[in-house]
Amino acid sequence: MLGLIKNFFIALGNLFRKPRTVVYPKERIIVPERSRGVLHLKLDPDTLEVVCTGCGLCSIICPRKCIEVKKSMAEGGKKVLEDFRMDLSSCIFCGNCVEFCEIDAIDMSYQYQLSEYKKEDLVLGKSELIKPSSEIRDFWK
Amino acid sequence: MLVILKKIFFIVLILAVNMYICEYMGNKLTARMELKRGYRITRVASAGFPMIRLVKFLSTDSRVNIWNFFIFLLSFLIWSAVPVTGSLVMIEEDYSFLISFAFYIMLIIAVLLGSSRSPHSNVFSENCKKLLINLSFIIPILLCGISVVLVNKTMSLKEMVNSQYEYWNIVVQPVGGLVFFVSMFFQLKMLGISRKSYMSNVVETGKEGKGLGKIIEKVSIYMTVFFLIAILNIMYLGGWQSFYIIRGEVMLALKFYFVFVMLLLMDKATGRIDSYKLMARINWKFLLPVSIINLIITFGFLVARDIYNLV
Repeated sequence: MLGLIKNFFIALGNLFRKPRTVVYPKERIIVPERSRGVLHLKLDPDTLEVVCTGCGLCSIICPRKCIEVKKSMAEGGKKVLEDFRMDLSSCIFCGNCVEFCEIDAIDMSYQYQLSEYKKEDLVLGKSELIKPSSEIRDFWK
Repeated sequence: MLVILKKIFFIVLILAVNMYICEYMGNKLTARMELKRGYRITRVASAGFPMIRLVKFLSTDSRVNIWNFFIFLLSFLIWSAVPVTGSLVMIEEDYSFLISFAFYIMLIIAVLLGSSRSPHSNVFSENCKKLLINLSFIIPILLCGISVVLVNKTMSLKEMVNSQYEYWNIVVQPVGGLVFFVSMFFQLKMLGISRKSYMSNVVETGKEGKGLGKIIEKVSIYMTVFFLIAILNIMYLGGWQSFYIIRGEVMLALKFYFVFVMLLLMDKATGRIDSYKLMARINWKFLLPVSIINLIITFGFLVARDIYNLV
């Protein structure tokens, strides 16, 4: 009986509280800090080149094996990233790749709206992984 | 003849407008009680959503069976003896209390038996159980009604309101009013006032669905809600008696929506009840004894006052 009365007042109070949901396509919430979205390849601010050297540690550590890294040797014996492919359809957003990266070349962006019509479109290349910003959380308007 | 047609038109208009408002309010308020901004349909179509839902239902299926027709007829016939306001009553009867409840019981039987369209015998037995429990909830209501009849010395609903000019019956019969409200709430809970409040997965009454048959079912459930609220207003809350400078009709509307919102809140507070035994236990162990004790006390008080002049 006491529980019933308590529930009654909770339901009554909820009428005057702010709703917790948003009308999704029209309104969006700001994603919480440190949320894990799509991978982001960092750029060197001076040279504007990809920091990643293509060592492939992330693809080895990935539990779902959804990262594919191709590297090539540039002039002077320097390792250069040729291609970086990520399959979002099998990624579980565990963040292992970011944690194990030795040169801190990748991080996770806040991009979370990932639905596509075709499964092939969920495989992202190097150019697409450079795009997502890690700074602005509600960029995806 | 013209006067009766005019009255019927106004009664149907009032019921239709109330149904529209209650459908909108019910959906919006129950969503807000769950801290949601509104269910999807109320967000998309805002205030026009009951109309859109009606058209959507009609466009899907327009078949009706004889049960639907019978239910539709009864859901308007229950208003034949109930005064909507002081001057808006279709047929003025001295025994309107009994006539209205006879129609109400018939409607409940029709709604619950009409919803067992499935050929499975399981559904029918479920419905019969539900029907019997629902009918058993009418007994405390009738007992409380008899107490009010004894207090006001009339069986006419209109005269009951007129006799409350000094103070409302809820002041004289607070326990009766409480029992009436609780048993009314349980009846509506079984019929389904809001979504997810129907009792069993097997019985279809109150569930989401489409087609003209479902519209009629929904209308009949709203009619039972309105009927019980109207009877509660008339018997305990003073009906259309004016309150200081507030007109009687305004007071009636205020009381109507107050009781409706209270029912919605109670519906959310209790959640979904799936156990028949619990409902039956509440009825037989709480509502019935209390209403019988209330009747005995009222009867004893009236005998002591009127026959022996003790009070």
